[in-house]
Amino acid sequence: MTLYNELVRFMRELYPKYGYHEVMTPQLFRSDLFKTSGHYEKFYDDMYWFAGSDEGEELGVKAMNCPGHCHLYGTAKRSYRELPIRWAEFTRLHRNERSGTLNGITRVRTFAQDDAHIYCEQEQVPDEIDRFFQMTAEVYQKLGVDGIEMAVSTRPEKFLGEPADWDVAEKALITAVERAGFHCRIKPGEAAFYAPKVEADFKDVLGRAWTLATIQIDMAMPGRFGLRYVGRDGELHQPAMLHRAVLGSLERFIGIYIEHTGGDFPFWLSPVQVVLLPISDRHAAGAHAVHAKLAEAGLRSEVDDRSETLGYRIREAEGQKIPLTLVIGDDELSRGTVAPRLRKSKKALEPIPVDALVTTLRVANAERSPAPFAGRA
Amino acid sequence: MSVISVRLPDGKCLELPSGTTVLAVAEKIGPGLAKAALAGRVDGKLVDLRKPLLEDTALEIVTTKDPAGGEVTRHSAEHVMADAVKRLFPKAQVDAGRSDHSEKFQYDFLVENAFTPEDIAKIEQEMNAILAEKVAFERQVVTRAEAEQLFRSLGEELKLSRLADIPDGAEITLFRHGPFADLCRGPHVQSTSQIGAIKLLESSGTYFRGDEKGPNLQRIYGTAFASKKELAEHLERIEEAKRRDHRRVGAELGLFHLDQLAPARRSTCRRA
Repeated sequence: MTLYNELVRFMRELYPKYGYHEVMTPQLFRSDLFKTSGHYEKFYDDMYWFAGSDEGEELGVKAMNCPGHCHLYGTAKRSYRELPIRWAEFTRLHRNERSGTLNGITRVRTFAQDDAHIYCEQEQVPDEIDRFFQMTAEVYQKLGVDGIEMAVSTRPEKFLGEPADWDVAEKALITAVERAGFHCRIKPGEAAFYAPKVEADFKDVLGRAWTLATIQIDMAMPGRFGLRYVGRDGELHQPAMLHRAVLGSLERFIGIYIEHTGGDFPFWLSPVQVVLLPISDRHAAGAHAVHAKLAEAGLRSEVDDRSETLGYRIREAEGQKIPLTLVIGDDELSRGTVAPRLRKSKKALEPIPVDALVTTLRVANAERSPAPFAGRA
Repeated sequence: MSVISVRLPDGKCLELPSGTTVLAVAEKIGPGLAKAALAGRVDGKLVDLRKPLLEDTALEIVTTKDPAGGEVTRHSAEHVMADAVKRLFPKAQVDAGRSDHSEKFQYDFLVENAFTPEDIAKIEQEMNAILAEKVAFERQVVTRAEAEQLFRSLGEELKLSRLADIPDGAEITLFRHGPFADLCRGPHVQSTSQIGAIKLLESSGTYFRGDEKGPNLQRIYGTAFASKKELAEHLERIEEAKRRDHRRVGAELGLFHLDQLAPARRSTCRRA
């Protein structure tokens, strides 16, 4: 669960800084919710439905969080002082994808997103888009994802809402992309019927384009749910609504990221960060002792004390893409030092005291370092 | 005779007789450009060199320097492949190619036996011989009757079926190079010498019009690039993609598990 959990933990840690609150909405809703949102009509075949136990009502398994969030918004009187409301949610979504379209973990039927919806005043929309781009830039930098290109998808032939509102929304997206310093590509007619959107596309190491982050301005849902807030003027107004995700589907992102990195993840994301290799049986206890210190400091460490040769175990660690290997022999045990050996380098670095290693790695984890000791290789 | 205005990317406008072809415009700009031209671009879409321009147009000339040039050479290599198959397997019938030439080309054939790896190697060799012959491509506008007569005389029954799909009144064009001709809208290269380095990839079985009750066809995939170097880089990228396939890496590193018991839902193994 490392990749999944570490990605979610990363997003969660950024949320307070960017003003998001996490919510949890139900998995199952009466179909009424989806009739209000419009998904019953447009998305029926892609969702799972069944008869609930109460009087055989039709229940739907949510395929997206937006209807639930809109409903949640409507459960209290809202004032302009509360806006922007930014609700994030990581719970599972279910979509009945056609079996011909399924692929590994990049297209599955159950997945989660780093999803969030923003409810704000119309004038706050440009600023919200700017902040979203800042957050996206920060996340991608830590993940080593670059070469982002931005594209705005404009209205399809049939769309909900007023053309004048779409004009404003599309322009807001285009100017926001340009303000963030990107060249804006247009994908005419590619927007959803209810929302123009920006997509951040990136080219992976093989030159293939993937859409990752997206932000959409919803032209239909606030109206369909009758969402309101009391404005400065004391009158009721309808909030603007944005859907956004930085990673998109976590499962899909992990699949893409595996192919982009070839399994060579940054240190902070590696499922196993350190492997200890006792040279022989008499060094095993010492290796486990170092492992215990690393584990206590929150590092994902393992001991490989199988009776295979050292050379074999080192090659295994390389093949498993483990960033750091620590060979434990007589020298290490007598001096209380370890010589970190970075993946892909031919020899180990100079020995350092065990406690110094633990501290360096604990900090590397906290700072989400891509490669501790990198400069020393 | 009416005059049209052709605007070039640098802003310059040429006043030319209506009906001037894209290639003729390239020749007006310069002989070097005309020699290297593969297609024109109008409104973001590729246009065949032989197409007559009938109204005011903003035109760009596409050469091998343009990434879209590869789409043209792969399309033409596609025809060369069908030509090679017909030369080696005279009883073969040729069905359709593909519309997306951004990475590869393909053709479907009705043949007695499935193509073996040796057949594929021979076809590739024959293709290289055709490229070296520097055969010119020609565009022909024909009537439905002329097209029917041609394909009937060539024994191309499947082609007659495809011809019937073309709506009445629509322009019917053929592209011919050497003895080979097919229904095609283009764009195509001027000569097979512009095609560069080719490689046939794999073959598989398919059905005519996707109908399991219809005839079994053999599909051959291939690709073409301007130089051997670019081709080699492309093939290496395909191999690298296979090495990095997340399902493969996921299995190697024990990251996740996919199972028929929960179709398309992964079990998060201890790692991913």
